[in-house]
Amino acid sequence: MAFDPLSGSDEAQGKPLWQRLAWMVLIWLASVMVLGAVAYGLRLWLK
Amino acid sequence: MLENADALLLARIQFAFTVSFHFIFPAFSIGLASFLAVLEALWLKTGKQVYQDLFKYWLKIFAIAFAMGVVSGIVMSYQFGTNWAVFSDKTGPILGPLMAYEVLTAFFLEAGFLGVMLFGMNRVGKGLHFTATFMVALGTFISAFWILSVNSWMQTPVGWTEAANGQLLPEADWFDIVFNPSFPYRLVHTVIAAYLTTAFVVGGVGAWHLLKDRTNQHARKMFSMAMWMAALVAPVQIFAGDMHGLNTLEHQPAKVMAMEGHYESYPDGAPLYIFGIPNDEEQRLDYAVGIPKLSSLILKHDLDAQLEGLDTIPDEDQPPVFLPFWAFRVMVGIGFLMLGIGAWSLLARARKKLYDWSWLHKAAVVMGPSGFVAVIAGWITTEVGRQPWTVYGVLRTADSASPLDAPAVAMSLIAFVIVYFAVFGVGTWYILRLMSHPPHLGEKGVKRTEKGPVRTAGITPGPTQNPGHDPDVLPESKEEATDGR
Repeated sequence: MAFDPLSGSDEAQGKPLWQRLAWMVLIWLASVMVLGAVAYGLRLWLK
Repeated sequence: MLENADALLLARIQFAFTVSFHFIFPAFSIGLASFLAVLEALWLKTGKQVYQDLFKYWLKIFAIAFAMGVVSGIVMSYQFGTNWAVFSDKTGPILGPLMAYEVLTAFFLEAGFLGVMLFGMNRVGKGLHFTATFMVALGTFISAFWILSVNSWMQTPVGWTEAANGQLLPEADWFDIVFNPSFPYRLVHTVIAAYLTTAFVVGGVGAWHLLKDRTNQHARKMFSMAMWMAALVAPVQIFAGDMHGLNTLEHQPAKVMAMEGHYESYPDGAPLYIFGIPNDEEQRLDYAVGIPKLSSLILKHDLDAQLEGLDTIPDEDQPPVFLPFWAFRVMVGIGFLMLGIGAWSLLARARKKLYDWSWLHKAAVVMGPSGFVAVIAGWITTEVGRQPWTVYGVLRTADSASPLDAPAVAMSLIAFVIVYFAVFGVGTWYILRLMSHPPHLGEKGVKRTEKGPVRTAGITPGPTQNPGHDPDVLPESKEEATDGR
């Protein structure tokens, strides 16, 4: 099984804009938090 | 026990190692992010499968390169505190805010929207997904903007004043600091270099797969796009590099003297040395082979123009010559090779042989990694050439380092070498492995280990259509796919 980054685009198009925007904000926040955790981990390693 | 001077040398080696390693990834991801945005835009505009497949193919590679670039970049910023604490303390009031903007950009534009790019399509839809891709591309550019502004200010510092405690403070206008004299030239030259680096990687991968199968439509498309970039952008880059060189001559003449191997002054026209072994001790270029007056023509646009040499610079302010001299020649040589490949591709295209001339494909494969060599050589030229200063004419490198003993710096250097080669070696190996597989119709993305039915919208799972067929092995060509084989 493969992860397909562009799958499901047609189903998503049918959903209301507010819902798609909310998902965008959520995924964006999660990504920033992941990078923040990596950066903090590196800081601890270098201390 | 090592002397204190060796701690400085080790700190410089450590920074050179980590920053060289780091820059490989942004040099690639800056161009690749824009390439992905173009591919997705073309897919949305034309609806052609080939653009979608190429987008998926390069997105996997981008994600890994981006992750390695961010992680190695974070280490760089921490290193300012560990090994270069005096530099950080003195320049912090000016460079701190600029670095902070770069980090904010990297976090909130690049990394944040990368998540949407990778995982968001089935949640946000095509339009917002393209917005995310565009934001990542924009983020890589803005990130480069700030970091190059920082570096350029260190090369051509303006708009500062010195406080009583020795710190450098912004004087009046931040605009002067951000847009310091060398910044526009360095920004243009570096960003174009990143685009060319990516183009030659994409072109090299396309050529590699064309050598195996000339009918592969995906390989054809990416090779063609890359060769357009080489043909159109390589000449622009050579012009931008020339402009950058003239700017350097104006603001950092000693660097240009080192790049040219001009130990002595030439009142009636200076030669362009093609070859030579710089001899700093004797202040001469051994075994020199040069073209008379050509350097004056290039730098002053006059065959007989006077050019001063390192004999006009005090010994303690002279850069070492060997590295800038040879790194500059490597960079320029690769630039002209890129120009040659671009011209060759135009000829092949005009004769409708772009996908048939195997020697062009072989040359493109060989030139695939050349962009990385060129950008590293370029940075060696500019960074070694501005020695012995960290902030040109203001703060010496010897006065910038942290008061550390050599063994402490040596240990962290060894740790960096081991960790970098292990972590980034694995990442690079995986990228090369992904590149070794040709992009194909219905490109899927990162493979997972477990096997199972592949379901796409409204289509019966693949294995039930073709029992015994491995769902992860997709047809190589459109014909094969539609043949039902």
